[in-house]
Amino acid sequence: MFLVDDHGLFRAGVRSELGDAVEVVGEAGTAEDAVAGIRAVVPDVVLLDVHLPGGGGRAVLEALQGSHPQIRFLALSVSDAAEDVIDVIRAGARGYVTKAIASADLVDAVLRVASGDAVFSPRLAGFVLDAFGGDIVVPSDPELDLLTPREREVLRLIARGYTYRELARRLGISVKTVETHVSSVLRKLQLSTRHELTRWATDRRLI
Amino acid sequence: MRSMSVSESAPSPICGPRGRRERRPRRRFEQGAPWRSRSDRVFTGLSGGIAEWSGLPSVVVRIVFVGLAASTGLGALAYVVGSAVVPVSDASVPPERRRLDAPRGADLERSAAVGLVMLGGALLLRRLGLRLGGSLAVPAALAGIGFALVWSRTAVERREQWRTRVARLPAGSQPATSRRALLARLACGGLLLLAGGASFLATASPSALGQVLAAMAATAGGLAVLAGPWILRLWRDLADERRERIRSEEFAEVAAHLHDSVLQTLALVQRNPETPRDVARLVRRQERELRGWLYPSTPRHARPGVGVGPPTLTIAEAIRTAVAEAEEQHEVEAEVVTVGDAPLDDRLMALTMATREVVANAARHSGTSEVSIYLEVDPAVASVYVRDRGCGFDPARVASDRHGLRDSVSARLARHGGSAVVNSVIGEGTEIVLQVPR
Repeated sequence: MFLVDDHGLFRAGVRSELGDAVEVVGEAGTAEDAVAGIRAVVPDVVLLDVHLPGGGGRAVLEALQGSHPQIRFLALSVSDAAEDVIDVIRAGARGYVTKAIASADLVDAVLRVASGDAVFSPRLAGFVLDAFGGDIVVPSDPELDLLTPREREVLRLIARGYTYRELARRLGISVKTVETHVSSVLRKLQLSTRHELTRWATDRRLI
Repeated sequence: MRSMSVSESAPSPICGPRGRRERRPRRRFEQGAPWRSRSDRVFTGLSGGIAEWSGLPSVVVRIVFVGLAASTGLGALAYVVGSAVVPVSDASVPPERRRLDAPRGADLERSAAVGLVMLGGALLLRRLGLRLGGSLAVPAALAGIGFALVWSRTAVERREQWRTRVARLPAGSQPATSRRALLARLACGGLLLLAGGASFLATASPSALGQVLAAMAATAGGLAVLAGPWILRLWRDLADERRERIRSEEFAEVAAHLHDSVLQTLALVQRNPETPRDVARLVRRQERELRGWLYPSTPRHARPGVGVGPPTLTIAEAIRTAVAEAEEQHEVEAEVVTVGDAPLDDRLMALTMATREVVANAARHSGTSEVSIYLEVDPAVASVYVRDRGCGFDPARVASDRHGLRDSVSARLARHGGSAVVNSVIGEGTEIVLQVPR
């Protein structure tokens, strides 16, 4: 895993927290260093701070998405600002966790992203539900612009604090199916042109 | 200077939020109207006070008063009136507080006596044929006083004050009284100047009313020529001044906020490093507070009911606040996720209170320190899910003397047409679903 955060102290903390579960192959403190470092070592997962000097996490994502589609990004932030979160997800991150996350959950999230799944924290699930809520407007592409009832249910349970495993048991489906639903939501989130998504995120920025 | 006061008072963690006025040192040009001196006084301290206020030597002020009194008696009148209306004070007292100390009776009597003595002296001098200045004295004095009123405080550093004050006029941040005082001073000064100038010209060549008017017009025209460029420059500076002021006020607000919140918490944390629970609680509270400030859950412009009147509290904010309170009382970490929002009404208020009780219960009885709260508001119903991964319990076996869940939660929601459902598995955790119709 490659670690990108502008606070050296935080990087050291994450390194020690992850311990043996995850191998940290490099770290960087700015967007520029991150792009160069990631190109050099080509990690499986990049743990990427949303706020970085030199363009933020988004700049890193945009620089590498085209050339290294196999690298997966997990966004990390102290920010609860919806537009930051939606922004990095739309730019290609496979998940979003807050810096307050417990070590075990972080390890879990990194491994999950490494295996190609999406990681939704309760907060992200809340944002997505909020953004895809209000079905008054006729969607331009129902395939992408609407969540299925099942996806909505999955997101709602995540927002309520259920883990994937608890969720699977509760809905009587397999964890794999949960992952499929979540990945599908992520795809919709990244590809949807639903104009509310932009407007909703912008609304939250204009304080 | 603001950052200085921040670092000065940071080590005293107990003090709460303070008004911004106290933290801001009063600038020299904010000293307001003149006062009567406490220390430099011969009779009532008026001359001394004017000297302190204007920066002139007090002996000059006294000579002017005596001269005016001796020549026309006007100085005596001015002194009596001045002593009666000008409060005793000094530069350290803020202008808005000065008017509180009214002139005392003894000062009034004394100033009246002094005025009478001066007036008597002036009359005596006249009797003796010593009419200093003659018929020109009155107009000259009027014009002089007017001129002094208008220009006395526009010496280099005083001009600064004018600009600041005038710049504040449209913003309305200045108390109305001092704006009125400024306008009154300008009006009085201008009138006196005009009257003095006019009657000066009229006396010089005693003749008809027309000439007086012409003289007034000439004086006014002269004044316009004199003051025109200055006024122009003043207006040009206005925009810059205002921009700068808004910027510095915004900065001051952020600095004040950080001081009252983050720095205080950091100081507290430094003092209690050996009690991790307290530290964690302090830090969590601070984090929540700062987040609330940086990222309001609902954008202010999109808040329902915003416009005129007080801002409307919404259910999401109310839930966050209620959970924060429970969090602090019960040493529990709660993550709140909200979807949708609505202005608070009676039903949603009941939902908030019930949520608070449920979170407190979870903190007390579940044996875990983490609780998830999820609020969802849709057009038909508002729901709150409170979930913990604690020990779980069997609702049927809760002792009948425990009223929390039954009274505070179920009954309260039932009164508003809502419900509370408990899903609990012993050993795995509890989820309580609270709902009220919209």
